Amino acid sequence: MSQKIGVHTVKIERPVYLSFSGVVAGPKEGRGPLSADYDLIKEDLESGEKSFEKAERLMMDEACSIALSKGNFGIRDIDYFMAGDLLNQITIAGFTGLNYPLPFLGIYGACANLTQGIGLGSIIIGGGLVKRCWWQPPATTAARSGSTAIPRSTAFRNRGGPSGP
Amino acid sequence: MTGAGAALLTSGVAAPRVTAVTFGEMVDSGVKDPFNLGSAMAPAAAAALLFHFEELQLDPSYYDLIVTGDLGQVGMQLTRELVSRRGYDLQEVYTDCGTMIYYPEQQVESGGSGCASSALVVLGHLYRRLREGELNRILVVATGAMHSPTSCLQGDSIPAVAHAVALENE
Repeated sequence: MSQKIGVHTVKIERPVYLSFSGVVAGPKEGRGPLSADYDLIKEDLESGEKSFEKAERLMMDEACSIALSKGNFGIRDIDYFMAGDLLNQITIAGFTGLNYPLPFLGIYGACANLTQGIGLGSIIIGGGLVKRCWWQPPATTAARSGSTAIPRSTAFRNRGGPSGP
Repeated sequence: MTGAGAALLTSGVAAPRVTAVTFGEMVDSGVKDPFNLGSAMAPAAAAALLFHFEELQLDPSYYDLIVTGDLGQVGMQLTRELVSRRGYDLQEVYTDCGTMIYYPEQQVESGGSGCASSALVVLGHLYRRLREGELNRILVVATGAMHSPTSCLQGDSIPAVAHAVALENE
């Protein structure tokens, strides 16, 4: 179980693993020194979408699909979907969540979204409330992206869900 | 900067573990310039680091690497100084994700900014180094500036928060 230490800290005693990740980078980031560690690098910012915002939804969806695919997970293996971004009312997270019919928790800690999401997810899993797993797609910026290069998960296709943004 | 990251957390697929979480408090340093977010967020980063060290009774040297999210060069130096005033020396174990993403010739000034900064560096680069055993214990302190266009236009200062997550190999 987890243990509260002092005022701010929770020690996660029960194993919670960051089991898989998916990372999509923009063109400029893809020309940087960490390019080999990104799963997908966009060649252009618009990605064939009608707006940068729609392209950003695509990026978040691709990051999620990559993480799912690496673990060979289907949507029904996931207990919760947490997401955040920097647009008004975290609209990227909300629209992306339409593609994943799971309990959805939008989070906002601005650029602290990553650790806020991982922290909350770990406390829930570490507390024994969730037996299976937790998916937390934490971050995008005012992003732009390119065309879809990563196929959506097989499980997603089989469920006949919406085709995404 | 531009990017997206996803993390799949589980209780059963072995990988680097999330061993501790330190949620920081809102901090208002009085900075009003939205183009100087590093300075606005550094006090929140320092506070979260100090909460983490003191509540878990850890020294920064416990970790192979400590990274903040997107403070850039300016905020990183300020964080280092603020933490050192309380007796903790971050030394070479500390850096900032925003300073790692671009080559100097890409001319991004202080570094990358945005919540994709920590996502790309931690879930891509550092996660790979953890999985390969090059790193075994890291502390990620992502920092958020909780302002809005409206609050800035109305003259408010920029409050900030930071949250720390420890990732360790078993």
